[in-house]
Amino acid sequence: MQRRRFAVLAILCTLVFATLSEAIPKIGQPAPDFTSTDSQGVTHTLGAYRGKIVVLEWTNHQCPFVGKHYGTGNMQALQKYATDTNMIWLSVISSAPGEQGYVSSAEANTLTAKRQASPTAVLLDSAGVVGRLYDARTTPHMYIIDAQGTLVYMGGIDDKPSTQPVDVQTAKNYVRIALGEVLSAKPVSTPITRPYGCSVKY
Amino acid sequence: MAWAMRQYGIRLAMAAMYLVLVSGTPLLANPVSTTHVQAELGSVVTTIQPGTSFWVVLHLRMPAGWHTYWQNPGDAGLATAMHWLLPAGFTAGDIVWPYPQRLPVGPLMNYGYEGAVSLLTQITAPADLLPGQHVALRTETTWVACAKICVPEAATLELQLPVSAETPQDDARWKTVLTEVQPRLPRAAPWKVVFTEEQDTLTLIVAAPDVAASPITDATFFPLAYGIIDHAAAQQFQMTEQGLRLMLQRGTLDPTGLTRIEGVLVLHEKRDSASRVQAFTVSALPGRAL
Repeated sequence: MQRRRFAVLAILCTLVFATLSEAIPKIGQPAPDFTSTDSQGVTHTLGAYRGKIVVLEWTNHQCPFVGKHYGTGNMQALQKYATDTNMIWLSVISSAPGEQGYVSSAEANTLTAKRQASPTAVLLDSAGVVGRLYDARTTPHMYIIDAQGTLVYMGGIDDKPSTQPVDVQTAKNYVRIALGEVLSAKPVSTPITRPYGCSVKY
Repeated sequence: MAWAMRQYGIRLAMAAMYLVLVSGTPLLANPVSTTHVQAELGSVVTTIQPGTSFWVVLHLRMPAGWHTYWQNPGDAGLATAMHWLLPAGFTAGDIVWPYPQRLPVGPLMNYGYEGAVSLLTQITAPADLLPGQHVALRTETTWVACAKICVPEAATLELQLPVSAETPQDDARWKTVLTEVQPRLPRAAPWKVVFTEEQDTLTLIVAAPDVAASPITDATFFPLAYGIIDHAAAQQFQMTEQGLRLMLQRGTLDPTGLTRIEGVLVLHEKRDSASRVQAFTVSALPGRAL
C-alpha cells in the first residue's frame, strides 16, 4: 500500500515536472518570475519590479547579429530610451561556461563601459535557468513585461534578419514600437515576432 | 595569330589592372573561399541560347561540423541569399532548395545543410540576345556558416558564358552536380493534404492510400514559414488506411486561424533493407480528419 502510494506520487511528480518544463511564456499571461544575479553581484527578482516596465534582452557579445545592433549604437539607443523613461532593462547572458559569449562579472562590466551601454543590469545566467524559463532561442531575443507583470512582447528586435549594419536604418524596430505602445497604455500591435540571430549557447 | 593572342592578353591584363585600380577591389573569382565555406557558381550548359532557360548552381562546401541554412533556418541562423546582377533582359528565378536536415543545437533546432549543398537557380536569357558575345552572370551571395558559433560570410561570384544560336551542350561537371542534387529536390505532392488545429498541435493529414501501403520509417515536415510549428519538437507520424498523419507541436508565431501551411514533407521508407528518401512540397488547407 505504502509502495503503491509512493508510485502514484512519483507519477504525479513526473507529470507536474513535465508540464512545468513544457510551459513556455505566453503573451497576455503573467511573465515567469525569476531571481538572478547581475555582474555587480546584485540579485534581481522580476516580481520586485512590479509597477515598472521591464525589458529582457538576451545577448552574446561575440555573436555577429548582436554585433550589428551594438556596432551601430542601435541597442544602446534603445536601452537609453527605456531607462530614461523609468523602465528596467535587463541584459541576460545565458552562454554556458566555455561557450561563446560567456563572460565573468568583470568582463561584463568592461563590455558595458566599452560599448557605452546603459542597461539597468546585466544578468549572468550561465546555467541557462532564466533563458530556458523564457524559451530564449537567439541573441538577440527580446521580451517586454508591462507594469502589471504581464508578458506583452516577445521576439526579434526588428524585422530585418541580417548581420548587415546598414539594415538597422530601414528596419521596423518592433521593440521601440512596442515600448511606445506600452508607455501610452495601448495594446502592443505586434506582440510576437520572429527572433533572429545566433542560437543561445546553453 | 600569336601576336593577336598576345595583344589580347596584354589588353586583358590592362583591363584587369584598370578594374582593380578603379574599383579598388580584386577581380571576381569563382570559386571563392571564405574562412569557412568554399562557394562556386556553375552552369549546367556551356553556351547560352537566346530565349531559353537554363540552370545555374551555387555550390557551397562547408568543413566538418559546419552548416549553412535552408530557406526557413529554424530557431537561429539565416537563409543563404543570392542577389543577381544580370545583363539587360535576363531574369533569375527564386532559389530551388534541396530538402534540409534537422540540426539540433542544444534545446533548439535549425534547418540546414552539412558538408555541402547545391542551390539551383533558373536563368532565362532574352530572345533578342546576339550570338557571338560573352555574357557575365554575377551574383552577390550571403550566408551564415555555423558550427557552435556563427559567422556571416559573403562572396560575389561571376560566371562568363558565350552566347550561341545552337542548342546548348551540357557541362559534364555541373550536369553531374545537378543529377546528384535532383533526388533531394522536393516535387509537388501528388496527394491532397489538409491540416487540423488542436489545442497544442497541428496535424497534417496526407490522403495517400499508396503511401499507407509502403513501409514508411520516418516522416518529417519542414514549414516554409518561421514559427508556425515548434521547430525542435518531435514530430509523430501515424499510418492509417487512408494515408499518413503527422502531429506537429504548434509554434510561438502560430496565428489562430491559419489559412494555409506550406512546406516540405520528407518521407523515409525502407524496403528489403534498401532505404529511400522522397521529398514533397506541400500546401495544406484547413480540413477535417479523414
